[in-house]
Amino acid sequence: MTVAADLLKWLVGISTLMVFWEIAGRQAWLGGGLPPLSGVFAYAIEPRSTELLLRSAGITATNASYGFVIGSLIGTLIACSGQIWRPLKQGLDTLSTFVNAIPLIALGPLMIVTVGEQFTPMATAALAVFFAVFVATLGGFERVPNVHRDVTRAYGTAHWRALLLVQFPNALPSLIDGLKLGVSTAVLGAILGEWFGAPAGLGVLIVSSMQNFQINLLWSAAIIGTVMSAAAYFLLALLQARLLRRLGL
Amino acid sequence: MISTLKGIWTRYWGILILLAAWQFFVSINNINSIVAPSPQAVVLSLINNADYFAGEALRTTLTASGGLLLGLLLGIVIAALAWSTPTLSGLLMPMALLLRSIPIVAFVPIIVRIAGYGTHTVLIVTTVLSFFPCYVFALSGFQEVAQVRKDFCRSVGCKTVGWRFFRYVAMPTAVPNILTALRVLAPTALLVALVAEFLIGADGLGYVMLRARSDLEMDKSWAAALLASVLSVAFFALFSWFDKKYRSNWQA
Repeated sequence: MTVAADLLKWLVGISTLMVFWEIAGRQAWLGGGLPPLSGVFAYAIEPRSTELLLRSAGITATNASYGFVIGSLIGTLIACSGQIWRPLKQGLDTLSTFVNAIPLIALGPLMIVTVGEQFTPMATAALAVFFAVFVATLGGFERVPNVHRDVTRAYGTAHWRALLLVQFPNALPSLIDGLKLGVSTAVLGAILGEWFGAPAGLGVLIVSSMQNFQINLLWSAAIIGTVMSAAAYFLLALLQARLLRRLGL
Repeated sequence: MISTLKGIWTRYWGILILLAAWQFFVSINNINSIVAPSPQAVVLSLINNADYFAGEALRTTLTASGGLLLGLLLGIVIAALAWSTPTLSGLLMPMALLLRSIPIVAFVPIIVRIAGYGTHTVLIVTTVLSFFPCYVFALSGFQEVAQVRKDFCRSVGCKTVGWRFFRYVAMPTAVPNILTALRVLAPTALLVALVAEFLIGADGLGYVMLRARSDLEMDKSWAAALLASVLSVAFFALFSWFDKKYRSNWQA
């Protein structure tokens, strides 16, 4: 019953937003910048624009996925290596915090030099993801019960074995939380990375349509980006629920 | 002396190695300074143009803080309204959840189209960015009031709705939540302000980056990036400190 109630709330909430938007667009409350929703929709379903939008979305999705996978791997590995060799930990924390603080738009040009324009979106997406996953994994490690840690220490378990058998499983729920947060940042990072002379993608579309005042195209691209990131989030949330149930957590 | 050095090394070896690798990479490959400046050129540029950078950094910091504050106020007010009217909270929750996963960079151009090119647009962008997390955190804080406290209020004849309950019970309960939201948001607000300045060409560090790059003054552009990174870390540290201080003062 609560599921139905939640669903109803969602439906009502979103339809209110859509109706409000339509009225605001028709009355031009925000000038030409906010077209009516129906106009954007009509534009997006024209075959030519649909093709353009889908092609760009596909490219961005690919970039974001590669970035997501690479970034998550790096984040997890860095967090783990700090566990295996303790002296590394503090320096890795500081380094990660600092790298995370470097504005992505500042890294764009550097990426173009090092990895090339085509791979820049992947690299920025990976960078955006890495920190979320790193922090979440570290948080998970800190939640390992002391008793467990003491047992491995008392039996003289090798660090990497303790990591594999005790710490990592304990950190898993938190790691998945990090992945969930990271997946939206991956889309964001990919779009941002595409601003720097990438050949195609939603980011390219968004900037060029802003400059050329193609307002319907701009809104369509932004909405597709949002839907993409929301869909990825829900997919991971679903996966998380299943996995946690499976693990009995 | 040795132990201080050792302490610095354990904490900062990552950054030190990164700097060394950067310097090494630039000098060994003999890379033109138009492509990648050396760390020392960047630091020199920062020192030589200290006044200029300080002014632009102040501008970006003020815009970001202003947006953060506006978003925070708006978030708290709307969360308070949602707290007092469950229907509104039901309506707003899906939107807040949906908008949380919005890639904000995709909407910066839209906000620019609506609000125009200028510093006020940067302010609007950071406000919009800050609003939703503040709303979500504040609302969950208001709703987290422990049952014991509600029971106590009822037993002394105070209603668990309305202004008095909100002011004396719900609001204080939500403060730690709001501080967490601020701590998480502050560095992001700064970086998003930067993105907006970069895209719009509004004065501030973001524009310094853009202009220096088109003038091929890469040392200047990287200096701005370095400054922005330091500022963002400082923002985070400041709010973490504030958070900790509040907790140690007010919570057992």
